[in-house]
Amino acid sequence: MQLLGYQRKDQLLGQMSIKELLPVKARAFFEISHWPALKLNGSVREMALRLAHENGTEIPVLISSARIEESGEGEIYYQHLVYPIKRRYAYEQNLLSAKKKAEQKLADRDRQLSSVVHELRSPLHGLMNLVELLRQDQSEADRKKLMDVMTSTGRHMTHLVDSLLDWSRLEASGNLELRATDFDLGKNLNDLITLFDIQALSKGIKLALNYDAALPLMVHSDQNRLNQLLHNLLSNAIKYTDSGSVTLAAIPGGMPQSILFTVTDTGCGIAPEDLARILQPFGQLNNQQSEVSSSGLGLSITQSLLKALGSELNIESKIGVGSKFSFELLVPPSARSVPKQEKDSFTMLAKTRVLAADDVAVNRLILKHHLKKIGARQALIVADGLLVIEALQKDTDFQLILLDIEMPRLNGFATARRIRKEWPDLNVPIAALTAHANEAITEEDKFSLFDAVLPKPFDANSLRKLLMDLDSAESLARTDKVVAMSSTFSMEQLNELFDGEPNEKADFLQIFLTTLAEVDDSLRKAGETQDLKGYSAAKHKITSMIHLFMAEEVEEVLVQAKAALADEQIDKFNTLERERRQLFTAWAEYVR
Amino acid sequence: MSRGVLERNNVSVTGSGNRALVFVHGFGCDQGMWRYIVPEFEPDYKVVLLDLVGAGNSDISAYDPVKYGLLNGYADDIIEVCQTLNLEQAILIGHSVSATIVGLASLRKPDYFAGLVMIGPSPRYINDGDYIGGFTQEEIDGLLSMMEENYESWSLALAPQIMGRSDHPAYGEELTESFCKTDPGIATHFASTTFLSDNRLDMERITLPTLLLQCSEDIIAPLTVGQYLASVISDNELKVLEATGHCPHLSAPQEVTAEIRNWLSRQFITT
Repeated sequence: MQLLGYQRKDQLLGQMSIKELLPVKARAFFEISHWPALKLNGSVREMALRLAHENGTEIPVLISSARIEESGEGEIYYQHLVYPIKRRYAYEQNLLSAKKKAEQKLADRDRQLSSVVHELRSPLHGLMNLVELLRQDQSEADRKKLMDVMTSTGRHMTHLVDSLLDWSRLEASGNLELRATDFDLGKNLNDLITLFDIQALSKGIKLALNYDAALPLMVHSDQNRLNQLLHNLLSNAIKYTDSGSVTLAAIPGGMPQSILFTVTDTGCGIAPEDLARILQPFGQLNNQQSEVSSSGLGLSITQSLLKALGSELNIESKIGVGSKFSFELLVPPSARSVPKQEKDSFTMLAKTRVLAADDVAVNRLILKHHLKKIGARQALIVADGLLVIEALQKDTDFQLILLDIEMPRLNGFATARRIRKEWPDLNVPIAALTAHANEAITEEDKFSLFDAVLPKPFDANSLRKLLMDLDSAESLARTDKVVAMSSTFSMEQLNELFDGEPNEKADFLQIFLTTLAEVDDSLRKAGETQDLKGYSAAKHKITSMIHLFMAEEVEEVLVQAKAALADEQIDKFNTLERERRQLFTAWAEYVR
Repeated sequence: MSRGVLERNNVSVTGSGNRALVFVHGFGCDQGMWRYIVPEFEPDYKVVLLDLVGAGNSDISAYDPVKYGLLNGYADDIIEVCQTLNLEQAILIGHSVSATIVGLASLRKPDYFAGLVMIGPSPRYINDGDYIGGFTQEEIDGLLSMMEENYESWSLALAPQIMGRSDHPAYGEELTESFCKTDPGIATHFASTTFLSDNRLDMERITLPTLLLQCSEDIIAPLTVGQYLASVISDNELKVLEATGHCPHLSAPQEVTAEIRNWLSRQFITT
C-alpha cells in the first residue's frame, strides 16, 4: 500500500483486481501472457511487470501468481506475490544499456580496425616496392629521390598512427589533460597558416588570416591542442578546395573571454546527408579523387577534442559553394602583456647535460646522434635503470633525464619512481621514451611520473621540441615564482580610487589587512574540517578585494582549491591551499 | 516435406467429421490454450491444432526471421499444414494476432477455405487518426520493451524462496506440464511483428463468411476494433461476448463454444 502511495487501506484492499493496478502496457502483457499461463498452468513465476503508483509513476515489480483452490467450497481464487525490484531493475537497465553500448562500440571498432588496416596497407606496400627498387642499381640521384619518397611515406604512416592513438585516447577517456601556457595567439595563427603556404600555392588557392583587432595578442591556453584543432580543419579545407580561397578567422565569441575560430573554404562542399558521416571516424567523402588521401580521422578527432574542451564543431556547407567549420573556445588573455623572448634552441641546449637509458644498443646510438645533432652539451647514455641510479649517485648535474620504459633490471617506471623518491629535490624533468604510446592511456597513473612522453620512433626535431617545451615550462614556472611578489597584485585601481586621499587609503589598507587575516583564518579552518560551505563563504568575502588588487592568480587558486575540496581530492586541495597561503602572505607583504 | 510441415508446427489431428476446424493460437501461447473448447467440437468435426513456429513444441530451428518478419509467413505455414492434411473447405479459427493470420491465409487461397472465426481480432493495435486501436505508439513501445525484459532478462530465477510458502503448495510445485512455452528470442521478434503490424487494408479484402467474437472488456482488442472489422469485412457476424479479458476461450469456454457452434450451424450444414 505504501509502495503504491495509497492513503487508506480501503482504497486498495478487496476493491480491485490486480489488473487494475497495472499501467496499460503491463496490463496488456498480463492479458496476453501472464493470465493465460496462470489459467493453464496453475501458477506463473516472476513476470516482470509494472505497478502504477497513485501519483502516476510506475514501479517495476516481479509478480508470481498461483491459483488457490479452497477445499470443500470449490471456490477458486488467485494469489499474487509482488516483489518490488526498483533498484535491481535500475541496475539491470544500466547493465543492459552498457552491454548494448559495448556491443555497438565493438562493432564500430571492428569496422574502424579494418579501415585502418586498409589505410596502412597501401603505403606499406609502397614502401616494400621502394625498397625493392633501391636494391636494384640506381644512380645516386635516383636513390636519393627514392629515399625521399620513402621518408614521406613513412611520415604519412607515422601521422596516421599518431592520429589513431590520439583518437583512441580521446575515445577511451573522453577528457584530456590541458597544458595552458602563455603565447602570442596572433603569431601562432600566422605560423600555422604559413605551414600550409606551399600546399595552397601549388593548388593556386588564396590562404588568408583574419585576426580581429579586438582580441588580445597574448593568451593563456593550450597551444598544442588549439593548433591541432585548427591544423585539422585547415588541412581538410585545403585538401577539398581546388580553387578560390581558404580563410582562417578569429573573432571575439559570444561569451566573455571566448574566441570564435572559423575556417572557411570555397571547396566542393558537403551534402546535408553526408554531414553526420564525415564526423564519424573513417567517414571521409568517398566521391573524391584518389589523390585526396586522408586518415579519415581528422574531423572525428577535432569533434572529440572539442567535446572534451566543452565546445563543439559547427559546420555550414553548400555543395559546390564551400564549407565553413567553426568552434568557440574560452581563451583567456594572458596576464603577461609582453611576448617572451624567442629562445635560440642552440644556446639553450648548449648548457644541457642529458642522462638517458635504453637497453637496445642501436637506440643508444640513435639517441646519442640526435642529441649531438641538436647540440646538447653532454649526453650520458646507459643501458638500464640501475645504471641511471648509479650515475645520479655520482653526479646529479643533469638538465634532462630520458628513460626507455622497457628495460631489464629496473624499468622506466621503477627508475622514475626511485629518482623521485631518492632525490626529491632534484628538479630535473624526466621524459619517457616508449614505442607503446597507447600504454599512456591505460597506465596514465604510471606515466604521471614523467614530465613528458616521447613516442618512439622519434627524430631529432621532436627531441628538440620536447627539450624546448620542458625548458619553457620550467623557466615559466621559475619566473612565476619570482614574479609573484611584484606583479600578482596591483595598486593601480586602488590608487585611482583614493586619488589624492592618502590617509583614507592607508586606513583602507589597514582594514584590508585585518580582513585578509580573518579570511585566511576562516579558509584555513574550513579547509581543515573540509567544510566546503565555510570555504566558499570565506572565499566570497575576499572576492571584491581580489578584483580591486587585480589578483587573478589568487582567484584562480581559490577556484581550483574549492573545486578540489568539492571533489574531495584532499591531496590536491592541500597543495593548492599551501599555494593559497603563500599568495596571501605575499599579498599582505605587498600591501605593507 | 509433408512430414516436415506437421512436425514443424507440432500438428495434432483429433475428432471425427468431414469438416475440419483449424485452431490457431495467438501471441505468447500455444495450442494448449484451446483445451477447454476442443472437446466440445471433437464429436462433430475434425479438429486440427498447431503451434506457430517459435511457440510450444514447434521446430525452433525452422524459424526464419525474414519469413516470420511478416504475418504472411505464418499464414503460409497454415496453408501448408492444411494442404499436407488434404483438408478441403476447412474453417480457420484464430485468436488475437492469429485472427489476422487466418484472415491473411484466406486471402492467399480464398476458395480453399470455407470460413473464418476471429477471436479478439485486431488488424492494428496502435491508434491512427479516427481509428481507435486501443494503444498509443508509446504504450506499444513500452509493451515491447517489457516483453523483451521478460523474455530476455535475467531477473528471472530471482527469488524462488519468496515462492516457497508451505501453506500454499502450489507455489513450490515444479510444473510437470507447461503451456504457453515460447522461445525467448523468437517471442521478442514475434511481438514486434504482431504489435507493429497494420493489416487493415487486408481485412477489407476478406470475402469468406467470418464470425467476429469480441469480448466485453478487452484491453488488447477494444470494442471499437471489433466494430471497425464488422464494418470492413463483407460477410461477417459480430458477437460481443459477455466474457471479459482477451482470452474468452479460457475464461468463458462455454460461451465461446456455443457462439461458434451456432454460427457454424447457421453458415454450414453440419454433417
